[in-house]
Amino acid sequence: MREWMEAQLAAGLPALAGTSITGTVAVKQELLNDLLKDYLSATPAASPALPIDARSLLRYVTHAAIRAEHGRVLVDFQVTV
Amino acid sequence: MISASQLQGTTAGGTLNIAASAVNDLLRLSRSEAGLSVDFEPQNQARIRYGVFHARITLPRTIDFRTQSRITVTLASTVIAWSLKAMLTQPFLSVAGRDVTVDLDAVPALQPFREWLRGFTAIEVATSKTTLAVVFTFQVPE
Repeated sequence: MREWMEAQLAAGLPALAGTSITGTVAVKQELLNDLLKDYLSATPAASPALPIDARSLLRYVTHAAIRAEHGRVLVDFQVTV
Repeated sequence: MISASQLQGTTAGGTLNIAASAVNDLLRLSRSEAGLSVDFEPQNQARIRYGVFHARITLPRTIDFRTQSRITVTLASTVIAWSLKAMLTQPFLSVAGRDVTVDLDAVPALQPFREWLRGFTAIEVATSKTTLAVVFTFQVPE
């Protein structure tokens, strides 16, 4: 499976060609603080390894913007393959 | 795992185009579904192959998970539907007439994603020879 995903990423995600998704992720500050706490307390070995290099997915993010409002952070995004 | 309630107000929408070849790649790589393949055809038709077993199905054009996370496909053959009904042992699959329903809430592998499935408020499905296109709207209510 990992090899298949890596091959897909290397070839420009032909499995999802034509995909386009826009949206807004609303993250409460409590969740952000929990994630921050976990990140700071985790040792490198304890960090879960992603099945693929997440950075290779960033090329498909065609728009991203961060806004803040009372008690939460809003992340606007557009993904296009 | 992050719960949906922690992301209230999240919205997303768009078109997920899934290549038919990718669906079969994933089926081939899945240990539990070895030997299963699918050929998509226009008009939401598909042909399922599992060893010597072949079946033509019609995929739903619209799906709404707000009230229940179920997907129903319709078999072209009543005889195959009867046979399938007699063979099925999975509690998340049921057959009524030619309709085969998958209760996603009852699929063990999907248990962690139950509350996320409820966020898909509108799904439209369309097929071509090469692609399964899924147009969706997702929302985690405030």
